[in-house]
Amino acid sequence: MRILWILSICFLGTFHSYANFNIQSTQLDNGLKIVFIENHVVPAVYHSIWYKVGAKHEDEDSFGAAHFLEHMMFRGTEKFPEGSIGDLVHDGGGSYNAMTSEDYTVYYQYMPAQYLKQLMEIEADRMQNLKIDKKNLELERDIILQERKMRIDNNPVVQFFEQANKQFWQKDPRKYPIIGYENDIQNLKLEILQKFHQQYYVPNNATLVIIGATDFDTVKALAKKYFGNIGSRPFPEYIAPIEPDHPKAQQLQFSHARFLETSVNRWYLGPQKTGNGFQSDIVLGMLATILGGETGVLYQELVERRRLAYDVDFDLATSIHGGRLLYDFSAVCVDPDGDEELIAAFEGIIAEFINNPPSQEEIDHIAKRATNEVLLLNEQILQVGGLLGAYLMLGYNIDDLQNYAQQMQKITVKDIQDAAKQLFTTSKPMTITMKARGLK
Amino acid sequence: MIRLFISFWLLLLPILSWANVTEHKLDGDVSFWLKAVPSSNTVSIHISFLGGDLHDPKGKEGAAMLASGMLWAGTKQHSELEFLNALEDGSINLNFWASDDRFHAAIYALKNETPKAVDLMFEAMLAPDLSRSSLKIEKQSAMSYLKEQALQPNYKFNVFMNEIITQDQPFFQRLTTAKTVKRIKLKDLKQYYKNTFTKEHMVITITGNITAAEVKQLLTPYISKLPQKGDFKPLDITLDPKFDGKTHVFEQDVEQATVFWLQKGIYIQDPQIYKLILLNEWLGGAGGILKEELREKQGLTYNVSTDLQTSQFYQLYSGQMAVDNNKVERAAENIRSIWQQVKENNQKQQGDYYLSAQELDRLKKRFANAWSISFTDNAAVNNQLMRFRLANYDVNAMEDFIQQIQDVSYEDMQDFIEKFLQPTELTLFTLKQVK
Repeated sequence: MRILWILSICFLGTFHSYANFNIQSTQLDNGLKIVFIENHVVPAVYHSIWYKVGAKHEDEDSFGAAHFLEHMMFRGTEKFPEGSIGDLVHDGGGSYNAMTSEDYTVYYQYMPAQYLKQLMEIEADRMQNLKIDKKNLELERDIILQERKMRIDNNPVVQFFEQANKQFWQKDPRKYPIIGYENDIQNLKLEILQKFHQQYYVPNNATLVIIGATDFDTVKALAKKYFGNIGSRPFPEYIAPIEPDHPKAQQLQFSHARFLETSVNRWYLGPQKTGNGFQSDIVLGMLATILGGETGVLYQELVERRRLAYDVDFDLATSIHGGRLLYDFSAVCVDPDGDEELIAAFEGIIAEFINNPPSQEEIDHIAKRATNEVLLLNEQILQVGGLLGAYLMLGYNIDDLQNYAQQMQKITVKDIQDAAKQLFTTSKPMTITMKARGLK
Repeated sequence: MIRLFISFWLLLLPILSWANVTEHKLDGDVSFWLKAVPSSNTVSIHISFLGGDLHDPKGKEGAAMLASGMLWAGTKQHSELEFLNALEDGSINLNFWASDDRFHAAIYALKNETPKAVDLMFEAMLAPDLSRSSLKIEKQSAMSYLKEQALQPNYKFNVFMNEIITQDQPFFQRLTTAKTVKRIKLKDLKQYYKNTFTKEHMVITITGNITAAEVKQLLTPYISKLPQKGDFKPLDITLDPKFDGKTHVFEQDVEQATVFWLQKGIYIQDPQIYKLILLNEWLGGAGGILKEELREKQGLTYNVSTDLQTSQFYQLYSGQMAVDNNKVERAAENIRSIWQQVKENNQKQQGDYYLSAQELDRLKKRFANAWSISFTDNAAVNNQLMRFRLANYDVNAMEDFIQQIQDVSYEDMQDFIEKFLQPTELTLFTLKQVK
């Protein structure tokens, strides 16, 4: 996760520093947003459509619906029956997939650039004419149940984190798993999925993000041709619940016969956001870079000097549009019974860090590293596509991204110190211990 | 030994046709392949030496892995932290790892950071700061991890399968465990470095914005310091797997079952490999028969995958899927049935599971299209060049590969399916919930 954040720093810097990564954007009359970066490193396009609908839009009757609908989107339309997307992409030598988060659902393909027209045609068609029938629903239900077992139920660590999320969040939708619980998946009704699609899969709730070997005029013309006739519709407004500060520290302990090592996670709630949170998010990103990773303060102290842990990290764990960031300190203890000592040492280091933050020179030094990373990213079309879409869904705007490098260079010692104080002292953390039990 | 090593061909799919790879000589008969990309901003360098897991001394399995890890413990010139900071300052991606019979060092960096990257890479390899205390920590960490791994159902399942497949071939039954790692001493690592970092059997591939003259200038000072030979020799061993055609059941406390199947594959050097690549794409690829039947039509699994475990040491063709504990027998029967029907329908030239001439043409077209877009950066190109080099392909391998695929005739393919698929030898393993 830390790497992702570092990459994101770099990525953002790229827009500032390099004209060849120039983001171009427009909007159709029906509200469909189009964001494009021309890139000729490979004769291909990354084509994606991002709908602002995810797990946070669900209620007790529809838990798991956003993700379930993502699966159903591959079951086809009248014009493009089941398998059409797969056939097109496979025959073209490309790849495709989709993903659901709390905030959004994204469908993306990577193909030779000449296929852009067909990709848009299919996406426009399934935005309007998705067929959801009972037989396919039941088949997909079985598949999703197996997906849940594979990702969560068959892995005690992930299972425990699911329980920790449920306890940690009071109002935030991250309380609930995106895929839903087994019972939700078993009981989701066809009408709910149809309603979800009808309500949220509208052009004024979607953004096309395209990167690759074509030009903006072509992209605009194709988008107008295939999406331009789709009428906009109002969709339910989402009001983000405000996650309050957590007044009391929480402790959770799990154990399992397969654990022979003891690991510790400590979750910290980021500040309430003002505006879209861009300014505070980049400062927290810098803080995580200073504290986390192998060259970070925590690793050097806890792993290298004190030998209390085999591995430690500190990084952004999850984020959500309009919500508070979640930061995670994680460590694997050298002594299976050494979790309390490790946490005490961590707290001491953080207290010391707040009193004696790094110098401006050190902060500037890290900001400078990002410039090089930017250049490396220049040649990675898929990563850039994914990051650009995700940041737009998170609420950052294109100007934020374009000016990111300038903002990075303005971060001061006081910014870092204030951010650390705010993060580590305002809201109380949750400590999750996965305790060794194996062979005992 | 059922190794979950990265499949050569799966990684290769799909790939861009980067032509004009050239071969050049360095000091001591070391050669490098170069794919120059003048428009790029980056350089990827991959160096491979003879000396991998299979060279580990008996009873000290894990030595090559540990030796790779210890290269991060700092050097005689730089502490561990200084070394890592130097890499981060230049945004240099550096990796060391051991595979079956090779040690690999790879960098991916901006052009102007490449000299620094090369310097740091060789500094770590040739002047590691080896101390008993840092080895002790590295071993503790590895042993702790391995002990926990040994408790995991999938690990136990792998050991179970390994014993059945390798039977009387003890060399392939060796496993890295906490016990074997504990026995590794500092002198073993020193011996490993001495035997590995030599000019003999060293191969290099480079992709990016760099010329042959620049490469020579950059690498010669380091390579000239290497001894010509070490004690490691190319291994003349092959696994002779035992496929009894049965279904072997292994019970553990698992929420979801796994079905794993295995049959004889094709060695990487065998020209038949191109036919297997096509067959595998049709059978186990993203839009293949198995996914269509087992996921899309029956809803049995979230994902089904196949793997060409091919190298100079192994020729295995395997697949796996995760299914509900209550449906594991049905899933296993399905696999057997599909194998049987593909073979029968190939003979009859009709039916659901039948690779028609038209289908074969589609597959070939797919490869041709994929070839043009799938190298998304220089590191990806370079890694593929190294795979070709290590498999003894020639310098035109990038261009030849797609041609070889296109040259497979329909008759060849029918003949291949008939001989390759042996349903009676298809051996299945299931990991399922304890009764």
